[in-house]
Amino acid sequence: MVAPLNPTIPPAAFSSATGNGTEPAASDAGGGCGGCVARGPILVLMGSGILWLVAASLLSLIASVKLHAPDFLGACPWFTYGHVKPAAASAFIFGFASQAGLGLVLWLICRLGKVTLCGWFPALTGAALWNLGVTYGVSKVLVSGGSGQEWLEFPHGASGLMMLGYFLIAMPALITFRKRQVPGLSVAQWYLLAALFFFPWLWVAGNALLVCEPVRGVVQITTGAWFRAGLLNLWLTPLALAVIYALLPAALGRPVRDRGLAAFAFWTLVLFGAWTGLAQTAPVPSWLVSLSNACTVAFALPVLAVAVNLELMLKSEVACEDASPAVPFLAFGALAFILGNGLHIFGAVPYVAKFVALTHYSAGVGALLLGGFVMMSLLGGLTLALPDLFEMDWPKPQLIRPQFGALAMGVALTSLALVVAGLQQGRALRHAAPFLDAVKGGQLFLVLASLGALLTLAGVALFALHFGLLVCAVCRECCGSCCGATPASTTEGAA
Amino acid sequence: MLRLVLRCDARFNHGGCRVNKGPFIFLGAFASLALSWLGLVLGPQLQFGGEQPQKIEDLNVVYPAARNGLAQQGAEVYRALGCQHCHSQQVRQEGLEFGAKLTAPGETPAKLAAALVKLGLAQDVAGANAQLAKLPLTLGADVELSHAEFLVRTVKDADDKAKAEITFKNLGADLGRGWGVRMSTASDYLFDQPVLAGSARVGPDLANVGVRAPEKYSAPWKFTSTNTFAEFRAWQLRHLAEPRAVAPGSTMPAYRFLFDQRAEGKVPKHDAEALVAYLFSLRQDVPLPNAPLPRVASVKPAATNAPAATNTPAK
Ligand code: HEC
Repeated sequence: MVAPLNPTIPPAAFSSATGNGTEPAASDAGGGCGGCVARGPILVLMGSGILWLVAASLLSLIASVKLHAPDFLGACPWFTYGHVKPAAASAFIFGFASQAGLGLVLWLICRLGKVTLCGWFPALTGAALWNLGVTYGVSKVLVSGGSGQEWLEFPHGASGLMMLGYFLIAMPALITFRKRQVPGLSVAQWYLLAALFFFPWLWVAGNALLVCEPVRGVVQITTGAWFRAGLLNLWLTPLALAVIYALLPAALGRPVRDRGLAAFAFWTLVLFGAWTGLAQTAPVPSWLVSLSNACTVAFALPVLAVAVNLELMLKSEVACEDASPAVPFLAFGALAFILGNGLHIFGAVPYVAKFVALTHYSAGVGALLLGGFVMMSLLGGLTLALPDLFEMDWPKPQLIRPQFGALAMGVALTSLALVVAGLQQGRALRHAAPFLDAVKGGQLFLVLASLGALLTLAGVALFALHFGLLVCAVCRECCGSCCGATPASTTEGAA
Repeated sequence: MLRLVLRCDARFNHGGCRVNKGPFIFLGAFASLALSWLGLVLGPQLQFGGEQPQKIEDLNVVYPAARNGLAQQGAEVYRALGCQHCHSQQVRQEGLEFGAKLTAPGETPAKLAAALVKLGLAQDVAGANAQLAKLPLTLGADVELSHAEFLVRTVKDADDKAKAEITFKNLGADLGRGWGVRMSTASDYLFDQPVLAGSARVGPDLANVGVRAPEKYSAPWKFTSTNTFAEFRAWQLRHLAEPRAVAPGSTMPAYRFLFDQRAEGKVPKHDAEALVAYLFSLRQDVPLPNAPLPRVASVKPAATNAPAATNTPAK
């Protein structure tokens, strides 16, 4: 194993927690050529996920700027607000979050089960199909607009390719899972299994009922709400929670304390997750809105349970500088999960909803949940997974701190600015203020939100750059060992 | 380092539990997803899936009516340009305010006058008679429904030929802005495909923009002739091409690419014309059983082509 190059991570912090430090590490996922190949699909998923994240961050920066500088890129129909906004969301959710999430799922399944990925070839094909689908979908949205259903903007062809790709990835994942060498199920594995199970249902039902053979009238509104809440709470959230539950305890050297509580969190999340999406204001019968509302409030149960669960862990004595560089990402993700859902529940209180519904508030909550929770947790996972898969540490560990700093500040600034903009807008719109005055009153916050988006893009670009350096270092080492040249230039330290 | 991380993770995570709960998780997850699907997809589908346009007896119209061809193409343009990311199409209402009104006296004005005195609407019978001389007379405004019923009953008891009725006013910030005259209901979206109710109000709500009074726009303007559709079209085209020329400080994108630049100036392309036709078709002003309108608001059938009924706020 590569010695940690980051001087701030003494291996002792971890080895003291492991009973058996002599077990040959290469046996679990790595060794042999089969292992090498098996890593291919995982790396492709993660790598293209990172590239999509750069694209998505760039698109959301453009969309964000357009809200206060509407003539920015104004002449180009591809980049009109109604195209960039859905393109950014789709690129983020399907290009980055789903893809990096799938990569991490495969990695975790191998790692937690101590097995090698079975069926690397279908998985690799699947990754290629998924990327093809997302590329087609996002380009279509940019060039000629989306389907008009939020988060389901892709044309049938793209969704179909993605579905096929998904099965080609999920099947090997499940087969590998069944072959695992470690009996029992960890908390992380519950979430990961559930996520793998939920996605195809949501994706097929969502596309079938809203894009291919659309239901009529307001049924579209309730179905859309079901799909979006499901995609967020039953797909992206379990993916990110799986990463947090798998890695945070280990990185901190503390176990998940209360499995009973964790199970409670899991089942309540699964039970209420898909119900939370119907907006207060939706023009649908009030029984539906009330039901959705009650479930939104009940969604506080899993959030609180996860919070207590993690709080027990985060109250660790491991001082910050001893911890793995991924800990801040994971901790930020966990915090954003709690805060973001807290704000969502707050916004669903009928009195508050009168103000915040249909304002920037929900965009702010979305930024906190998608950017703060999902993105940060997954990036934390990638920070640990990539060096492991490449068997080489990050070439410039000192870059990880600034990455985190830029991302954390960017996400926090964007979400806070949008939430405040939403409150301001809601107040102005409820009172008799002329509409344009309300628009002008929000400008400052929207500028701040763009600043946050810029910082986020900087952090993401840095992450991608670092990833590029890692790939270069690996290639150099590979060439070095193949051609017999001395890998003098590699940063690898001898283990 | 990483291997150690993972190894210790395995140790931590597997404390105790050795039972394979995999199938259990799949079953539970399936059941809960199915439950939410039943509630949010199948339930509404059973309630609304078979909904048909309804006949509104008062106005002798069938509502909603399908859009004409050009407006339907405009709906596609609206979707493709993503206007719904900034404009909602759903009007909220926060309840009703009730009142009662006396519109015609009956056969025994003396008893009626006495009743008015009893209700405290006049000092004495002479005052009451003066009031009765100039009908309609407001018996109460901004009261509970039960009180409005009481007022009407009192008058009817005094003189059962007198004509008294309960009045109401739709309330809400959206209505106050002139964005609509009643709340949006399920029926309003029957022919929309896709339903573009929207989730953000970066710009004003457009559910009723086809019948919006010019002074209720965020950049108010005025009709200068009686050809209101021509003026509507001209305003919309100017606004689409150059929103900030019409509404200073607007953050709406300029849709210049919907116009051809010719010698004689900007000429709208077909898409722009279709979009305007669609905007003109946006109106939710037909009273429905579950979203009534005060009778005072003069509503013309939605099928006519002139925006005769503009959305003045329900005052
Ligand atoms: C970036 C957000 C944004 C997008 C996208 C957008 N608008 Fe607007 N729109 C606004 C804002 C802000 C206003 C209010 C100021 C004004 O009148 O320009 C507005 C006003 C309007 C109005 C006048 C309504 C009123 O009551 O004043 C109409 C009509 C309109 N938009 C139609 C459209 C159409 C059609 C599209 C799509 C082609 C569109 N908008 C896309 C932001 C947007």
